[in-house]
Amino acid sequence: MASLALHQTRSFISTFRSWALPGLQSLLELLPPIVLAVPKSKISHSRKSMRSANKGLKDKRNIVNCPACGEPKLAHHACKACYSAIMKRFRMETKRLATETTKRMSGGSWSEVKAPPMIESPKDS
Amino acid sequence: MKHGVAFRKFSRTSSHRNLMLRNLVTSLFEHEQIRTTLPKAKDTARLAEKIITLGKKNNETSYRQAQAFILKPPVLPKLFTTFAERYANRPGGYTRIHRLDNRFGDNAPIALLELVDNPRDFKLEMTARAVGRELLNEKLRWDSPRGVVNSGVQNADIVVAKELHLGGLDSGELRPTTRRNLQKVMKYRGREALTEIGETILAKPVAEAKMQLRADSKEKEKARKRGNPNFVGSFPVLPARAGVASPGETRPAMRLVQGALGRPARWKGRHALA
Repeated sequence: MASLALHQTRSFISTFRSWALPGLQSLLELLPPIVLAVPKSKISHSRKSMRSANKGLKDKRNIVNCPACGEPKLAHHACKACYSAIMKRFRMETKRLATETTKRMSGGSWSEVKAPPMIESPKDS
Repeated sequence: MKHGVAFRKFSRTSSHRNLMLRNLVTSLFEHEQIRTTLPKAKDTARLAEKIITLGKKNNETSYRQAQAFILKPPVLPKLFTTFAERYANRPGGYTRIHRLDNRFGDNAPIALLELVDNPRDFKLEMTARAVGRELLNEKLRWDSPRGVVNSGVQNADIVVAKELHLGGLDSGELRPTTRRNLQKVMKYRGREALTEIGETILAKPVAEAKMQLRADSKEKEKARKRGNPNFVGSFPVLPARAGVASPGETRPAMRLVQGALGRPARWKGRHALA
């Protein structure tokens, strides 16, 4: 029965198209629907969970304490807290130097109080 | 296969790639400290060191070569005066890469690329802080926290000067890693760097110790009732973020970070999570 259908479709195609359009369309016509893959039943909750058992986030094992501030940090990386504190201090120093030079050039009559460089503000716990 | 291929492509055409690296190197010479992605930093470091070598050669040919590479003319004299002087005795290795956290938008690994011995040397800052903290820890073994905060850590510069000449296995006041970092950082620097270290050395640890004292005064009664003779036990725990090691803490970071899950439960056979 299937082979008969196959033969008919093949002759059908050859008479009208003479293999001008080979490809997916003709292949799908040749394959009977029973061959196409399809899930037989709904995957149970437990099988689904079993499959995604190893898809969870992995723990980071490379956590160490920063030797400078004691905060947890990744091994071989710079400490976030220390980096931001140091950069903040550098920026403030640059700003202070910039304002000092401009003040000197403008020569204002306001009293100039030299602000000491802020090393670090105590962290609020 | 990529066997033996030295350079990265960065998904750019060769002209774009070369110009990008030239820009990065010029920016590095201009600011002496730049923040970029890690692969770019690694390639930029390689190129920058070669250009600094040109600066050290200091002749007509090398000047023209550097001039052809650097994109901002004001940076060029800096290369032949400042950097040539700074790295006169250093045989290579003029740059340093610090790995920072990953970028938020695309999780790209970010690095801080800096010229060694620049006025804002990041490694010098971190080493100074680490040295300060370790000296404080050492002091806290013999002194009370209040005593240490009041007196501070004297003779820090004397200790540092002594540690500069110790070997890896000799006993001293610093951990071997910190001592090694201190020696590396001080190798091609003069005496003024020692005073710099002395200034930055204790800002944070002393501030932290002060905070501890404040918390201590609140929990004074509890501590006395506990009566724990153990050093770490007598140092009260701040209500801080998880995993923070207070001065004098000896437990490893993984254990601190896990909190209650890191402490083995009391009943028999129950171990802490590895």
